[in-house]
Amino acid sequence: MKLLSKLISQLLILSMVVLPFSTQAGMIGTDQVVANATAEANRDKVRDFVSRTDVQKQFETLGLTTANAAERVNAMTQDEINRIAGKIDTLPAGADSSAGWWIAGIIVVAVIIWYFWK
Amino acid sequence: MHSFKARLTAGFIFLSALLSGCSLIAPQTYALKEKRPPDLPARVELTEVPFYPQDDYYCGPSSLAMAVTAAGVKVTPEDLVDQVYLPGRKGSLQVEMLAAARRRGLIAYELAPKVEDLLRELAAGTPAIVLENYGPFKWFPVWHYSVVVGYDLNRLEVIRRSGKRPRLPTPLPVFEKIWRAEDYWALLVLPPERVPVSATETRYAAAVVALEQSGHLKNAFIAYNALLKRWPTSLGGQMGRGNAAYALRDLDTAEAAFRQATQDHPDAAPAFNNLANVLAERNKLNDALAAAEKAVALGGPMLATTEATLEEIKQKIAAAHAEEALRAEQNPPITPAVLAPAPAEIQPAAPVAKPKSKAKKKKAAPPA
Repeated sequence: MKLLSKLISQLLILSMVVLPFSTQAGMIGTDQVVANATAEANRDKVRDFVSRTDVQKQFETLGLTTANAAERVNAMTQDEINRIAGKIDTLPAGADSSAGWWIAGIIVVAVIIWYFWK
Repeated sequence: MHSFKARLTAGFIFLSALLSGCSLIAPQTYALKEKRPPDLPARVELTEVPFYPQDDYYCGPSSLAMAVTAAGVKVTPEDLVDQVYLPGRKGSLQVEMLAAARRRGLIAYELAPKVEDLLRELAAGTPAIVLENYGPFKWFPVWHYSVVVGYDLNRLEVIRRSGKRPRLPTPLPVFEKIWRAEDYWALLVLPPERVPVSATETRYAAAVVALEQSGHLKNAFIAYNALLKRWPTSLGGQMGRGNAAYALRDLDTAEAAFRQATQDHPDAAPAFNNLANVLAERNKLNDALAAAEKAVALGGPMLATTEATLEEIKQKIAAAHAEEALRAEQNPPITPAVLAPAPAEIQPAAPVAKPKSKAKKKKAAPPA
């Protein structure tokens, strides 16, 4: 069983590495000619795949269901995935909770008091 | 105590500087005040933008719902919670706001970080979602999305829909201070036929490509047409128009778009490659061969694909020749009775011969 799963995972790795390089005839996507995206043309497909699964996993740890996380990751372009991969914990997340305001207010008051007593 | 007084004075200076639009704290407001662009209306308010009050943490979904509804697709914040709200962060990420707007078939365009561009878009009738940071310190950010729906240059303020307030006039210097903290991030949500007045070709093309990739082909096609209206020879626009038409199985339009692209950009290998593919699919094999050969000759980063296209077309031509030869050999002895059940099989091959002779005639012109 262990051998089988090892074999399968190795096959998967192999296919991940080999498949992106088997070029197919066909249409060239618009993303390949738009200047913003030309840098993406030569990008490492394996890394792209990894960052996508990465973001999806991180979404799941942040409270999304597997299906919802997958759906949301799919809705993003590769460029957007790269923008957030590995940074989801620290990137701006617009919220404006009243709790946040209270904390901000308390900190401001604390700083003023600190100034005053110093 | 002395140091307290000094700090207090500094605080007052900071506040007055902020409110008067000092060049250090709100440089763009300062510049606008110094030199107001003459063609910018003094006052704009988009009263038709709806208002959705925000429940705790849900400023992402409510701001987006306002912008999406203003762009013509009716949604409520609740519809969007599952697409942008991230429970573990108690908020919404910027890229998810973009993605969710596209999921409604709309263009998500990130504005250039300029106050003037924001005002110009408002004057043109488009509200903007902005990301603000009220945090008192760098290590204590308080992020918030709101929707800017207007401005008044005489009073030097912007008008926002924010939180539970449907109309919140905010002094422009204060707004710039909290907006600047997040690099002046603003998002426009637009119906596909509308190009932002401040848009640049590459930025807008990238936004449409993202919509195309999200699968909203019809809207992407409309947006590419709008792009070409503004920038008639845009390679991205022509290729996108062709690709979207191709995906929608409108081969006439696709062929025309790629042909136009090859004429306006004779060194664009992808345009020749895609033209070759469409021509081959329409059985104009000789024209397809010429286009594919040109694509390969041009080289470039897509060479592997263009070579594969050329190879495929060569094979298709060889197969057509073989079939023709076979038919020529078999045709005379075949009686109508035998032929009767077969037309479905023979039909696809039949047009091969005809357009080819036509194609040869057409082909004679371009290489000369």
